Amino acid sequence: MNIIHDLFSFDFLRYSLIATILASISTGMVSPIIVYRGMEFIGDGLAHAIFAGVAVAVIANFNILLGALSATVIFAYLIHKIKDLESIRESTAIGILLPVFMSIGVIVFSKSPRYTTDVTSYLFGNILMVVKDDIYFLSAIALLGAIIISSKLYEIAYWISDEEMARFYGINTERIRLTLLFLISFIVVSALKIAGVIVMGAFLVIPGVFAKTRSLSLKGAIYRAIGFNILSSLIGFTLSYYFDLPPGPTLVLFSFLLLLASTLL
Amino acid sequence: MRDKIAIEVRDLSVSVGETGILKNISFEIPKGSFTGIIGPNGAGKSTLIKAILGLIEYRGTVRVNGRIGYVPQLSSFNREFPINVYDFVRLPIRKEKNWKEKVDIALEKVGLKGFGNRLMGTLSGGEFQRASLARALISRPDILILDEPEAGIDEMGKARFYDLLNELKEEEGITILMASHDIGLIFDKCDNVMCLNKTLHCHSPIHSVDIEDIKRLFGDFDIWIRSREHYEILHRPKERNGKV
Repeated sequence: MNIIHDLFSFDFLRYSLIATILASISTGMVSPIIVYRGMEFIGDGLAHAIFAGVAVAVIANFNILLGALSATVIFAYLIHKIKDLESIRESTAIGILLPVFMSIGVIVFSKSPRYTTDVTSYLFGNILMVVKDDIYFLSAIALLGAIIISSKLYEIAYWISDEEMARFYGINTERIRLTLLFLISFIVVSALKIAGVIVMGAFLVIPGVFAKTRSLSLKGAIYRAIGFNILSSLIGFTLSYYFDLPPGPTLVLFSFLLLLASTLL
Repeated sequence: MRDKIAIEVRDLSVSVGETGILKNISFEIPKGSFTGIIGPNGAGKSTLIKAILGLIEYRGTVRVNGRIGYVPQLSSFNREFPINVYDFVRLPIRKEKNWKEKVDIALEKVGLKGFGNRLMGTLSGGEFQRASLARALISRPDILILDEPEAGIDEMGKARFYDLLNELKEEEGITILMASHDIGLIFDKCDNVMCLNKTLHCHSPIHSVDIEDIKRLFGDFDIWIRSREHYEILHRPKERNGKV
């Protein structure tokens, strides 16, 4: 069993690897923003929103991806609105909405005979089911993320470090927040097959935590987080291949071990 | 007459839900003056400043005659975030091409020459507030508004900071409005004082402030008088008031 040989022989394995790298880039890109801003639960929140969206899509018999996307967009918009109306932090808004969307998902799924199979593939990811269209979708989202973040890097940095002053000196912080919430939603949906809803949080948080104390700027933190994510995903991917482990959870466990090792060393 | 007024506030009220934070505040701040706002915790000092800056919703009228520079409380900034002094200060002129030269000039003015590449999180409280002041000054404001800028700064840092403010007022004619807990320094440095506790209890030149107004504002206990010197400063106006 040689991974290099198999990568050339099997399309599905090659697609999985490319998808893993692309998902590492897109999640790594937003991870420092999430960690510095203290929105660590956004990944979990969006994952639960996806659960509800998928449930509704399964029951109503329409495109699951569309269901997931719609649910995350609604979730992101509601975080934005609740934060504004109640003057609370994003993490509190996420805490309010997370159980609400999860409950919707559970109630809707409880009425579906396809509950078990659909749920497991969305909970843990299904990396070997990646097809060409997923690669295109992941690439488009990663590119969109790179364009948005690189063009608004300074504004995003100020939104994180001092929102009030950013607003005072003319940065449209509401637009920044909503754009980033939507971008994170798209990234989560695009990476769903790789990470699954349960382990998505780790992809979005661990690289940001790694980068947080090691960077002199937001840009530096983003590069470090992407590098960390790619390295840990590649090794995790290889380990899951050789030891026949479920890829998503293996990737997350290895990412955590890498963070632990980097902290201790 | 109007062009002698820097800030004009009429019947300003702010509430959050049913709770009134500020009620019917009216005052004028003359151009080129240094006005201090004093009041106990929760008096609404920061709220008043945020209303003037247009950062919160309010009822009433606020007229500002000129460009504002703002130095907020230390706590509004996330000190864990890696941003250097250059990027921190250039916010008001971020779209200008020669921002770096201007930031260097502003940093020199506040005594932070050579600090451009330092991370904000590594600065002391005094240095941080001087960087905040550089950010406020870089847009060449006519009015400078400061919200408890002395919080978290040691005595030495405070003295340097206030001297810097006085220089700005004297040399560049900037109007300064500053909320502070440091009553002694307010009486020492400002031309006018506003006593605030939900409503405006007094607004007058420093030398005609009535000690009874201050007592009403803070209660009967003189806990805010931290030294004999401050006590004397506060009691001097009463005597002068009697003579005038």
